[in-house]
Amino acid sequence: MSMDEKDTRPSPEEPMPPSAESPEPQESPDEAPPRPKRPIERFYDKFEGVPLKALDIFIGILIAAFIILVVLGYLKGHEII
Amino acid sequence: MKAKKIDIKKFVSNNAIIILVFILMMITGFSTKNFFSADNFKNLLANMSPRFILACGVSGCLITKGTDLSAGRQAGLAACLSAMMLQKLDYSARVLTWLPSIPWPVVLLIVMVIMGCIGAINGCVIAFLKVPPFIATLGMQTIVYGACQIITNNQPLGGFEDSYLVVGRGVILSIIPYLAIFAVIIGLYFWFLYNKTRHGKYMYAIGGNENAAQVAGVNVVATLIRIYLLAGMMYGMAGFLIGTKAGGASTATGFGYELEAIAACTIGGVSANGGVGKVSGILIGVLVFEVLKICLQFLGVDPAYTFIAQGVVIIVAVALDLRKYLAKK
Amino acid sequence: MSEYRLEMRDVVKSFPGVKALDHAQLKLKPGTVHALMGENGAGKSTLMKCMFGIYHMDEGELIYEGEKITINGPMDALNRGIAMVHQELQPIPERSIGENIFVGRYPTKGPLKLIDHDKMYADAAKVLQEVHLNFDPHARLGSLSVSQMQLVEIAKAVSADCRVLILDEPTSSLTAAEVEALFTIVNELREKGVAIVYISHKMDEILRISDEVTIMRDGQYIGTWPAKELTTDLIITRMVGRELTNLYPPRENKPGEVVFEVKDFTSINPRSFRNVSFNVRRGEILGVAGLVGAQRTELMEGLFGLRNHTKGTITYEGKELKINQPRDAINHGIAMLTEDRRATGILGVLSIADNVSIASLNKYLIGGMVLNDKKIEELVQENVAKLSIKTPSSKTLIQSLSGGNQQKVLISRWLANDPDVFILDEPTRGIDVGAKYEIYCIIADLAKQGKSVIMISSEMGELIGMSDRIMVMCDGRVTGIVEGKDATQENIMALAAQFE
Repeated sequence: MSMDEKDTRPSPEEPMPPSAESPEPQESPDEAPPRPKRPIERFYDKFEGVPLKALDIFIGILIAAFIILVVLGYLKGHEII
Repeated sequence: MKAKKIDIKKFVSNNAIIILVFILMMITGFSTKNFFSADNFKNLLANMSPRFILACGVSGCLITKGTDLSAGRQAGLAACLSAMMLQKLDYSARVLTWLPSIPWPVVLLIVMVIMGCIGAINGCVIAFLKVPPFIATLGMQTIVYGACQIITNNQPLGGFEDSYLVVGRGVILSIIPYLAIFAVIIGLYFWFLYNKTRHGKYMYAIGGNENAAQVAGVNVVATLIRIYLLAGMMYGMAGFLIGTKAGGASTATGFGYELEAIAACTIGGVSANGGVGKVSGILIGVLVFEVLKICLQFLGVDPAYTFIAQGVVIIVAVALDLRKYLAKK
Repeated sequence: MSEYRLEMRDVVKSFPGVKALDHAQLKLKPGTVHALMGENGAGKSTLMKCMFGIYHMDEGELIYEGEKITINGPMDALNRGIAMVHQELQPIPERSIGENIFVGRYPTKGPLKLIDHDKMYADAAKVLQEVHLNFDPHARLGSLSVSQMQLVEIAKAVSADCRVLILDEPTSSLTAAEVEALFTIVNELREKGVAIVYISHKMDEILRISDEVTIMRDGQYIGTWPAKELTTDLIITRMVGRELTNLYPPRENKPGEVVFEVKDFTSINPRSFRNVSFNVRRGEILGVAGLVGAQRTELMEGLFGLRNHTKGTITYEGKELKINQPRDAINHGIAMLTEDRRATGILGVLSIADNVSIASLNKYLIGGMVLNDKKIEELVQENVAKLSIKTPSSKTLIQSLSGGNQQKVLISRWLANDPDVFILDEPTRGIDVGAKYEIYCIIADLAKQGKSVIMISSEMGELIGMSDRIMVMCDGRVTGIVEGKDATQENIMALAAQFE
């Protein structure tokens, strides 16, 4: 019978991520707490809910915007428009 | 076959901005005159050098999951201080009329020490008082700007001694500006610091996991203070060089430089999420940004649009870094 | 109508570099608790994620109530009546309990499909009642303790009105009382005819609650047996593939004289540890036992300088030690392996070499300034060999190593300083059976070398099997010290629950 450890932190361990090197073997911690989120961890974490695809689309839009800006700026700079 | 496809996708997403700017450079190079010229290359090196030095300073802050929004204004203050101490003795608008002629290396040293102290204050506020770096350096940014205004009385500074001007304009072998020599020395120093000293290891450790670093016995407070102090000194040198390169300095000098520096670092692989970053990356990041600027200039793009386009690149750089971080989770 | 509610046949799933599932099988009968066991990396969670639609199988069939189907994603699985309580919680602490339970499937009303909050909270209250939890569904999830959050997570899965329920390490954060509550729920579900998959490392729980046990090893299906035919030893043997005659290594350490003494150590927090006094002998392993909230970790952190104390002394060989921060403790020859290596142990994005050398860099300098990379590499290789750390190279990032190997790297970090006192907080947490044994051997060896070892553990077997003496704490105070040979589960538990 095992005694139970403090219930201050929840348990998680990363699910097996497909990765190029040998994947993190699945740990099932007996009562291991998850890494508590550090307040310093940049505001990147606020975006955790955002699906990668949405981010990709966002980046794509930005790049398109960049190209448009350069073209427009070129035209403006050469007084074409 | 599938593996190769994933590789290309990963490569592109990791280096998107570099690829984008490279394409832009090719377009510019082949559609304008004199782009691929020695003169332009010299300009590129001259522009890059103070920016690189500034970025090296900021990199330590970024690697330890902090930031330094006061970098630009510190450089500006440094430029103004250097200017005030290096004006021609017979210049009509000389500010420090009682000051004798001081050799520029001495001025450089003085300025670096002063900015180092400012950096150390940043470090103390962040490490001891545990104020988030964003807020601490934002506050310092305004303080430094205010100080600069007071000290210069809002008058632009000019009329530099020739010995000072030479630093900013001189060239060896007709293609390498003296400014680049400063950059090379700083680059080598930072490479050494980050890779071959304990301070470097402690810095990466703090960035990787501050709590674990603490448990492992790293003196987090001392390391952070050193990082911000060193950063201050770098802003000092950068400001000194910017002043001579421009031949003048004012309260406007350095405005916004930190944003570009942070973007350059991010492009170069210094993740805002801490613990990683190489000097070579910083160099590449700064290079990419300067090439971008030169291309847009050569293409004759309207300056307002250039400004916005640069801003977009900064956002893309951060978004890509965010993506890398989220993808890992 | 098939005998089985759900069958998985010949499932193959690969990730770059590794075959996670190699013709794995599972057959679930309705109204049974089916345990799924195996070492870390055996493929249990992967197989379940295939069932739940988080992963797509490369090959294999899923037969649900007699029909071959494909599951496209978790929502699809839920709609079919397959629910999963994940090992890693994904709670949204800022939102209410009710919102967390119905996240992604809020009840709506009207043509605009606005969230029907009244219905949601009413349903949430019902769900909580079903699992015998009397939390207010309006309360913020973050106001609950972690074990309570895990119970809510279980309620969430149960509320989905499932026919198959997967519980992945459901008791990892629960107290003994809560485990009982969980078992009651599981029994009720079993009676309702739900097929339950129960993944756990806890042998006693498995043997108590399950009807059948499937064992996997290296992604392969080893076999299925009725629970009543199994014993802990049999399960371990089949999981590991070899006989493990002893869980704990023979101990050859001979405790000597008392060297490390703590007197009247009290935290600045009046509800934490107070008036703690104990000593440790040279070459001794002192186990530290206690229930949740006993403040054992807090005490050790206090001794190591991570927490402040108001009074008390620490002496080593009679000399008093002033410790205000970890660096002081390290300089005095104390080392501490923390409880949560991912939070306060490993420097994840750094290499193994960096992780090993970080606490002892002062020893590897050329001219007092420059790091001697060659010497550091030697140190790392020495430790890799000595502790059998499995890694492709010293430059590999530590976060890609398994838990057991990470722990070994951390131990190497401390060994580099040759400490006299070694504090270990749950050293084998989250480590599989084989690696645990290796860690025990390392610990035993430390004691044999004459070091004083303090080991906090929540596993009775581990405490009794490894310690020379066991100190028991309850509610921040030391309630007793038991000689190793006299220690039993009962007398330790009695001391651990003294003030409860």
